[in-house]
Amino acid sequence: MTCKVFNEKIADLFDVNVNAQDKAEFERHMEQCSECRTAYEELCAVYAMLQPSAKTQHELDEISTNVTFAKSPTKKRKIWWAVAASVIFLLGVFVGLNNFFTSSATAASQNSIALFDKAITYVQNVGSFQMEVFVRTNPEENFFDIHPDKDFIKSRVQLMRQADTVLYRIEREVEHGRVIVCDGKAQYMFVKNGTRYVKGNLGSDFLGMYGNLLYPDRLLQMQKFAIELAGDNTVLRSETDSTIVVVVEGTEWDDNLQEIYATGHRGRNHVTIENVFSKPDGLLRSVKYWLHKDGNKILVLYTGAIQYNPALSRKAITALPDEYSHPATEGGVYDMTKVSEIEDEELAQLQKESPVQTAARLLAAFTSGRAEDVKENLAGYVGNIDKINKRMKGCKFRELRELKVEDYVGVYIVYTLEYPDGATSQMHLALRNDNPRHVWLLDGGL
Amino acid sequence: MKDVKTQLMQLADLMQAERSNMLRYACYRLGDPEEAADVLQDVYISVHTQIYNDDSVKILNLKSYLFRSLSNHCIDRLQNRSKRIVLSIDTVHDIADVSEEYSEADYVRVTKMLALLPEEQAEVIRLRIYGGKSFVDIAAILALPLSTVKSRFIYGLNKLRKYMNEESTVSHIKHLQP
Repeated sequence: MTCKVFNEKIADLFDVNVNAQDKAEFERHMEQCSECRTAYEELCAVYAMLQPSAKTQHELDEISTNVTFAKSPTKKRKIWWAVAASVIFLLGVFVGLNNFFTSSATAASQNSIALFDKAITYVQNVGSFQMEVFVRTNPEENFFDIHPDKDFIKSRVQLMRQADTVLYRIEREVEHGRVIVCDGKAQYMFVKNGTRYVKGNLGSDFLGMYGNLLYPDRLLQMQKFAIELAGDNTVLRSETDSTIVVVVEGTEWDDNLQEIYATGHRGRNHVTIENVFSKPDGLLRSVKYWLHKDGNKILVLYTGAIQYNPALSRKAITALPDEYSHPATEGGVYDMTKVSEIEDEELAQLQKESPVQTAARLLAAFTSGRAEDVKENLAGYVGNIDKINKRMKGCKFRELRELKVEDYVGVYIVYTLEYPDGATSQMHLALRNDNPRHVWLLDGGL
Repeated sequence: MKDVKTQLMQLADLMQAERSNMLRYACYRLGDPEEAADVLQDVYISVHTQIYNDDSVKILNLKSYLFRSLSNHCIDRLQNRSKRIVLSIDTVHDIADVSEEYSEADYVRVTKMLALLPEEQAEVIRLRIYGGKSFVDIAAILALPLSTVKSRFIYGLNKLRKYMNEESTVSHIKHLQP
């Protein structure tokens, strides 16, 4: 072997498998040529430096054993929380549905998938349905959060299809509970017995996790995909004379914003979902949802009996509060599908802003007690200017950071708020610009 | 459909067999084991859904395809990470202190070393050392001639060797050593 050939082929010594005969030739050459030996040894030193440290390799080995991609019949799988994230995307479920099911099952079977298929088809073909849903949450909360330590709050869900339109009404049955109505053209959200409402287009994310309950086919579809994608597994399935019970166990995303701020990642929750189907017609009759927390299995949501094709009245479903006149909004309606008149020059300026810049401008106004200066960005909060000023005047803010969270059409701006007494807390503003004028509007966080 | 099923089964087997190599590669690319594990799941899902949704898709060399996909997913993550902006509002408000989120010393050490090299050389080294791939595999993953892969590897090591030998960079490299 010559030095030229040695240099040409030296990479072979660093391949996964080194041919023994070649290696012997290299060795022979290096015995005679100290220059080539030195070069090789120096490369070896660099190569060694690039190797993972023993500690890192050990850590990686540990992590690696927990990452699994196929069903192992004897070993409990690490749950496929990522599966459903992509399933939701595949299904085009884009309106912030709280990703009820984001995992595979511990077991699945073709039978269960067939059952889901059948139930999905049936549910898609019903003209109307209604059910009662009991969720552990705050009574006046929106439809996104579950609080395992709270009592159950009852909501009534009603949906009817008329030709190509879907009408629905979700109502929390407590004194100041929220109501969401869809009349097929727009969605409305208001507080029960209130006098004002927010109007959004059909894509507005008012429903939160209830979107999954409102369309039981979607709920079933997610579970079905989670099972299917997990391979040839079987879910737990049992039957009585009149029912088939399918239990899917897995892990769901947790859209807890505080955790997302803190870690940059979404958390996960281990959950169990029980679906009860009636035997003769294969329709989904009830759902129960447990959260596994600190070694306990807590029932956090359950439905009453789901009734299919009940007689529902369009008028009752789409009833809205009487409109109320507020100086800052047209007829008491804040319409997210419209934007108030803004001068062209000013508008161009607003459109140029990044969400962080908009947030900085808003916070500067709030903390100096001049929220009215930024009312063109306040959207639904325009009626709360005095409250905002009162609450935030004299505070300081810092560390603005943009955070894009899947499923939310806008962005979150995370910031630290320092109160006049020096206490601080981590806060956020939600901003969205999916309005015809593409201006960043305040959509939440205050 | 039978083809699809076979491909999906192959995919799961391959992911299982390659998980340790893929995880190590992703870790040294992203500097964060948890994120690396996430990326593996993303890769699996994206390839899985691709096969599942389109039964006309036939991936000839699944193993190469997986690593190519892994590399792309890592690049996406790194780009998204840099998009998380931190802005100061004015001098009154402090700029957020974005300390290195993933301070795993070993990953940082290697990332700093490889940052001294052109990306194409660094990528060959990553696939070889952390991905555990042979030069033939790497050539298939990167769609390059075998000779190019080997020369990029050696150029890369040589360049690092030179940095180590240069007086001016000794201190720089020293603190990179494990």
